[in-house]
Amino acid sequence: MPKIRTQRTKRPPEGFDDIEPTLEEFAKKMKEIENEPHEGKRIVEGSWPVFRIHHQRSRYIYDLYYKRKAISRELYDYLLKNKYADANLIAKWKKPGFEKLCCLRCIQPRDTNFGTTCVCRVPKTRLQEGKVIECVHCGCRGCASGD
Amino acid sequence: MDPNQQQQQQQQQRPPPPPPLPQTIHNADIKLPPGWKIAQQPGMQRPYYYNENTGETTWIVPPFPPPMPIMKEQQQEKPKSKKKIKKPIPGTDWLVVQTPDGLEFYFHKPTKKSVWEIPEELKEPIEKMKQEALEKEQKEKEQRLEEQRKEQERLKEELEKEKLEREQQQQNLKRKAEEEQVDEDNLKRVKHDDDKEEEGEGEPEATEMTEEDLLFQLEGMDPTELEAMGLLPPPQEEQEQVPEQPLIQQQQQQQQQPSESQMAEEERVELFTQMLSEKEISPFSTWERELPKLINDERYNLIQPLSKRKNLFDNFCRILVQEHKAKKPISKPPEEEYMKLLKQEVNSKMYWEDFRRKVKNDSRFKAIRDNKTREILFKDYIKKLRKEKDSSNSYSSQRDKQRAYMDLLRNTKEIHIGMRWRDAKIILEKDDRYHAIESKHLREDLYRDYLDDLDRKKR
Repeated sequence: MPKIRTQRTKRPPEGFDDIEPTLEEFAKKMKEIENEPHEGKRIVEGSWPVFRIHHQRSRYIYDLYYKRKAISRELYDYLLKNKYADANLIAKWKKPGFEKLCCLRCIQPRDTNFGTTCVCRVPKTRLQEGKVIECVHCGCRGCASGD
Repeated sequence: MDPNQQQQQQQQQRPPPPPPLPQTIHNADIKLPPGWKIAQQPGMQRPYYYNENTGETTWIVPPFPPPMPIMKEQQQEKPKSKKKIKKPIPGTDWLVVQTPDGLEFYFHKPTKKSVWEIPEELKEPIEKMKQEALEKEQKEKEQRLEEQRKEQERLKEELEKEKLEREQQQQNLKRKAEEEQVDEDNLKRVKHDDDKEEEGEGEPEATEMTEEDLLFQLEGMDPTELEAMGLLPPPQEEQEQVPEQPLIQQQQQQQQQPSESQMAEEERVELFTQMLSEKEISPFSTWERELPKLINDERYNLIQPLSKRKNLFDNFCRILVQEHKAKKPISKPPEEEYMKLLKQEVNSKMYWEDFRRKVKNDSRFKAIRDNKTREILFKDYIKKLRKEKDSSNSYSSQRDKQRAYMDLLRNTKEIHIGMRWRDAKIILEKDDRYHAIESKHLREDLYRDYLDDLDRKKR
């Protein structure tokens, strides 16, 4: 819930002003998606863009801190605390083999009929079908680290 | 089982399909390639796909066979550059040989010696050759760039035309809707329009015409109609003048580039990072947002796999950020800065609210994160000021102040005998000595005394 800044809330740490325009854009995109009509889409397909933007936003913050080292630890912790990025998803990205994970639903074995992970986790070399797969949870087309 | 029985079963039933995969798509309206059917046996939970021609059965939606001509083109492109390139050097007996790996060596015909380094005799003629080659390449690239620029500009103009058209058409649609409908329908339409306005122009595909539709329409329209709408393309002279200036800059950049096939991996990386540094990239922005700035440049294509480009981009941004931090002036602790701000702005009779309003946008004010500490420091400072004032209310300092004020009065030449206090105030307010005297009444009294003095001196 908190993303409303009043006089009583503490100011974000320094460096927030540099990244604020990008975060604003993500928020705007999210709102646009939420207002899209569901015409012409499957039932499951309606929520795919939400997962996509969520992944992108978390990816942006993860890159800024771990890859580009462009923000301080303070600011990174502030962003995680205020849910600008998904801390659980980022925790998976730090593990070998999960660097490009699409969403947390796709590695949840309880969500599948046979207790496996989602099909998008299968590397493309193992899929001899030659067709594009969009997984049912988040519309991912393959998030194995080798791809 | 007997083969006879098997055959009978095959004729009666279809062979059992392979075990199901974890993916579940239950759509009835999937397009199937030719020869495929969707079928379902009575005992099954899911439908399966059956190929009538081959007799294949699968659980998954069968893929369309890829079109053939693309494969052939790809095969043809590969065996292009696998030969050595030999160029004789004019005026001598040497040849320059370029191997497919990108290496160059020099071959002396009479003695049949091959040397890696440039022999002394050859330095000048080689430079000449290279310059000529460079010039030729530059000319070709200039031509290509000119064409690209023209195309880009034409595209931009068309996009602008489309936007104008779109707006006009929207207005037309709205007018028609209002005129033709009955009252009830009017109400409904108004609600729809409000929804559209709320969504903004985020998703023009569902309700409005896309750019492709407009392009199609533009091509179909007569040039006379276009003239009538005022959407003629500008004369070509302007297009040529504009690309000249950026071309000159690009020429200077290109003088450093040898042709692509000769470059080693390191050179490519260097050039790519050069391009990044020239393009004004913000290290806090995403790859997607910076991409349009990079994609038009030739050097973008030097590095092929997308992941490598992204890596280089990330590294570059990291370096940029470090430079930023180094450049920043070493900031003193925020409290010191805040004290300076207080000294500048605050006089003893200020309230916290007024001070805050005045100073809201100052960076030194913002540097202290906590509102409460700001207020506490402010109040401490005011206390200090008041103490100083009280101590300076001693008799001697009062006299000094009055003397200073009298000096001020004498120095202001605009003050004459009949002048009113109101008008004189405006002139005197600018000076500190006016403000040194705390009491307004005292100021006015002294002023009247001064006027009396002047009066007496005149007589």
